[in-house]
Amino acid sequence: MAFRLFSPRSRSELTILPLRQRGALIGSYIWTRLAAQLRSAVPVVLYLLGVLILLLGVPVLQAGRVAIGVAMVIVGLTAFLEGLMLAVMPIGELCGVGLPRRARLPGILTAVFFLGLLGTMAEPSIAVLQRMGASVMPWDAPLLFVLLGKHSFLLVLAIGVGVGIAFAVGILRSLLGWSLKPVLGISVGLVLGATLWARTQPNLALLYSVAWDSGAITTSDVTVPLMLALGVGLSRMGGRQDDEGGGFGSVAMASLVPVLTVLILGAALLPTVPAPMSREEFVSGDQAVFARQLFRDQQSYERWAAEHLTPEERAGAAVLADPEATLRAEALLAAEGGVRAGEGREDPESAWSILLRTASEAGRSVIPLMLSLVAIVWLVLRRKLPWPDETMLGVLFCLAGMAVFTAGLEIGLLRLGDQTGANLTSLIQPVEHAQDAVVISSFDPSVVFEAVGPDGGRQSFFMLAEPAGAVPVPYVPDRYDAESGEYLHIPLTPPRIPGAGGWIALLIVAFGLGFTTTLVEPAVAALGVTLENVTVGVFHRRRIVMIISSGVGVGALSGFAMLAWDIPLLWIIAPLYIVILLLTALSSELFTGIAWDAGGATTASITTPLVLAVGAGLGGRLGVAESFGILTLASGFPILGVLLAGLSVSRSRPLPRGSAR
Amino acid sequence: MSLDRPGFDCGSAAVEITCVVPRQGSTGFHDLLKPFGVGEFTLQSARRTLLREARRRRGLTPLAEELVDIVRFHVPPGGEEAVVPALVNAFGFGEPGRGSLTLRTIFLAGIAPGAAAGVTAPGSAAPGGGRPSGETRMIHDLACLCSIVPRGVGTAIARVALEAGLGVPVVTYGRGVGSRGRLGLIRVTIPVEKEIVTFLPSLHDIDEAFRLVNEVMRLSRPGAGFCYWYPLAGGILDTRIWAGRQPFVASMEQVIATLDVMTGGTAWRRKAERIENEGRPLPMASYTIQGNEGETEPILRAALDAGAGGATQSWLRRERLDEAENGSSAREMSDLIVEESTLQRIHQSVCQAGLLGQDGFVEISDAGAACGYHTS
Repeated sequence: MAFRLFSPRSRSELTILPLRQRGALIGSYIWTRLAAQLRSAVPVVLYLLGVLILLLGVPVLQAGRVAIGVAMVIVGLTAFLEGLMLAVMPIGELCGVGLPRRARLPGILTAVFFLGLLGTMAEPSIAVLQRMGASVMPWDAPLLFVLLGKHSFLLVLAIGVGVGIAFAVGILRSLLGWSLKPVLGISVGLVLGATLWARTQPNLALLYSVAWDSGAITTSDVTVPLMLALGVGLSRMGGRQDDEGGGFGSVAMASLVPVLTVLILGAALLPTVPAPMSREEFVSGDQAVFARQLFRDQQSYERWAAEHLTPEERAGAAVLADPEATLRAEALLAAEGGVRAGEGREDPESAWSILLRTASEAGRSVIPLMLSLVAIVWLVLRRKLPWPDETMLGVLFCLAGMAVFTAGLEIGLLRLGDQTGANLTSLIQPVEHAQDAVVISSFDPSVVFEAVGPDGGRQSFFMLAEPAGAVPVPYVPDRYDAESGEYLHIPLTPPRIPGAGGWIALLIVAFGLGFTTTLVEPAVAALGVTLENVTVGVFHRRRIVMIISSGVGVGALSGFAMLAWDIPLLWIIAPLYIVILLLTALSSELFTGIAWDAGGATTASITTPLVLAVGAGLGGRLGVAESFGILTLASGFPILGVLLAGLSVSRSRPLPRGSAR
Repeated sequence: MSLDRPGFDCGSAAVEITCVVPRQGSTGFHDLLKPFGVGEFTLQSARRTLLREARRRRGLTPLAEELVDIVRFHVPPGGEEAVVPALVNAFGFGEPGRGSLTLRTIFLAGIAPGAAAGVTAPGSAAPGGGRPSGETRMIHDLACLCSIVPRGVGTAIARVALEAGLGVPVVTYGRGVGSRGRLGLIRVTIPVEKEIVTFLPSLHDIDEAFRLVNEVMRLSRPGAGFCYWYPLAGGILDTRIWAGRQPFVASMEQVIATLDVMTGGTAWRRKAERIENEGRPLPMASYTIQGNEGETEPILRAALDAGAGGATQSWLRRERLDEAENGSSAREMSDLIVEESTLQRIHQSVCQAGLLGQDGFVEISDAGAACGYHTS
């Protein structure tokens, strides 16, 4: 035979490879992983650039900085994913297999609860909720205002407790071999019931959107892989033989239970806050005491009032009647405003300081969780780590990767997202170019004519002489100053795609945005790897990532449509989740677990800020107060997508006869 | 290999029965095996690969992959005569798509009597039992060919096996253990994930199959993997090679399987005049360590220190049938292919490392030639 026999080799304590061979190994290792990440990240960048330059016709601002940011995202994601595979997932699986042997059920549930609580409390993306709520006014939704400001710790705690309970229920289910479907059915029923009740309470009407988004946001890049690994490990130790769920389902619960805990917190705080009121009522002296209660202290009240209320309104509010306080707040605000304006013009925040900040956030997110896991291995399982050096390297990769990719997001990708969002309305609306404004002196109002539309509506216009000839320009009476005789003309460009085409283009952009960003989402990648391992490669990771990405794309599309046409969130999520529940009843246990976990894994560190950046930009231009709900839809539609894919697989390849004849 | 040699105490000969059944098909094993006195069985997730009736892509026939479970358990020699007909009756082995069943004679060491492996006499009132064994379509000149290759390469071997008509390949996941662990931290640069591809050619085809796999995968390259084979005491093959619509009342594979049964073996379809390995003692041994997940590391290290070249670890789930409270469901299995001359030394080292005191055991059986990258 042409081949040689395999024979045992002599063993020494440590084999030192030649330097050249080590170099080749390391080079190949880095390139393989980097190439995989490039394949995922390049489509996102090309897509955003394509939309910005080709569709919207806008040049990329600070292109060099954006390029550095994109490179940081790719390198950071590569390191982070490798860290997950080297440290987080193996230890999670080790704990999953070891805990049932060494600890009793209450002990396991307590450990898992605190892992969920700790992971969420340390999660930096909770700040996203506060960013989304920046435009909420205290008279519109006093309860929401309080929860995002004064009582934000309680909100974080409620979400953390929700995630902890969800993880504990997920693990309990896995250990006792309960079917996932009834657990999900009961959870969704409770959450939908609570949401419907919340809709009837004026103060909770805005909070329910936040509650739904909180579940979607707070399952992070570290906790999702950890829970998947823990679930897989536990499913090997407990459950039934015919339980083919493979330990999936815990992440799904973490998207649902926080909705309930946030609404419960809201209900508990209801008596302590006033009912929604008009702006006039809020600034009147009668409500001054209640208004003050919505803020952490007098100083924050004064600062907020200086920023959001007119001098007359501030004078009307008894608590702010002190002129010195008003002056103090205004001075502080002016100083901050100056700094902010300066930031806008020049370099906003140096890349280095962003990196330092994200490194600290990564440390908060990764280190407590890893320390808890190692403590469980040492103290509860009473074993050593199988490969401590590998684990340390993995934790370092996780920390460095998370810091670099989140910094890269801020430096590069989010800027592209912001620019895209800010310019997206040019597809459907005329755009004013304030920087090209012209003052027409000695404007004579007699040159203004009126035109009649097909519906009989009248529109004023005048003819503006330009080098190419006279063009009709809409007349805006507010821009004419009768005293000076000047008219401020702001050039207007028509929608880039007039008519229904613009709206269709907008929705396609939204789909593409959700789709491409999910391709690089690390939590989704971890879900893909877990699924591939559980199904021994029958469902390749790429396949499930594509299905989930398509779902997020449809979710983003629906979210943008919701913003564009001001559709209430409940009108979309109620039928969506009813359909999802029906399909869940028809699906296999494995696909049920994967689908619902996919919903929890989708909206993490990349999709959340990018979709929100574009959504907020669009919402701002369309005059929509807040952009809550997009993330809920972006995590709901992947569930639907995976369930449909699972059913199509079952239909095309019927499972052979089940048990013995 | 003689199973009664000195040094191999605390064990006995046994028959390992391995069933490959479609996912969810394994639920019936619990009730079926209990009356036979089988103490436990293990489950392993796997995928089987089939050719698919669809338009060819880049000249290649598309493949279909399905989830299957591998169920393994032990019975004492002769016990299979009662268990196998019951299994065939219950699970329909021999019918297309129902999976396969194989028997392997092994030496089993380290089993606490009546607890772990269930090597007890079969019961008499088994459901579906008592069927004449002649109806079971058992073929006795089969081998099992295992290829251990890096993750992602298994499908290529599966395609070779399918296109050469060598049977339905089954792929499981595993992890390579061996010299990588001695490299220090630089080991993280070497992929550890493996795919284990097994299929069941006839003994007459084994050299050809072995050569084919080696040529396609070029296993003499470093890191390309290795393959080995071991003879089976008998087996019932899965005759479903193609997924999708079947144009005839019976497939060619069904016809061949029927002829195998009618002629009493696969000799009628052998291509070579002489079989290379006929009558020769096999040069290698398959040494499989099974224990609780996370607990076999010192035992495996002892085996490697005693001269084993490397191992492939895979993960199983154990189902207890004897109502025993103790013992873990999560199990790990390490397959080592060792030379006959080192077998006894390795086994003594493993026993000294404490395998027999734990919830673990060792399976030893003959193995044919193993090929792979030779480093020493």
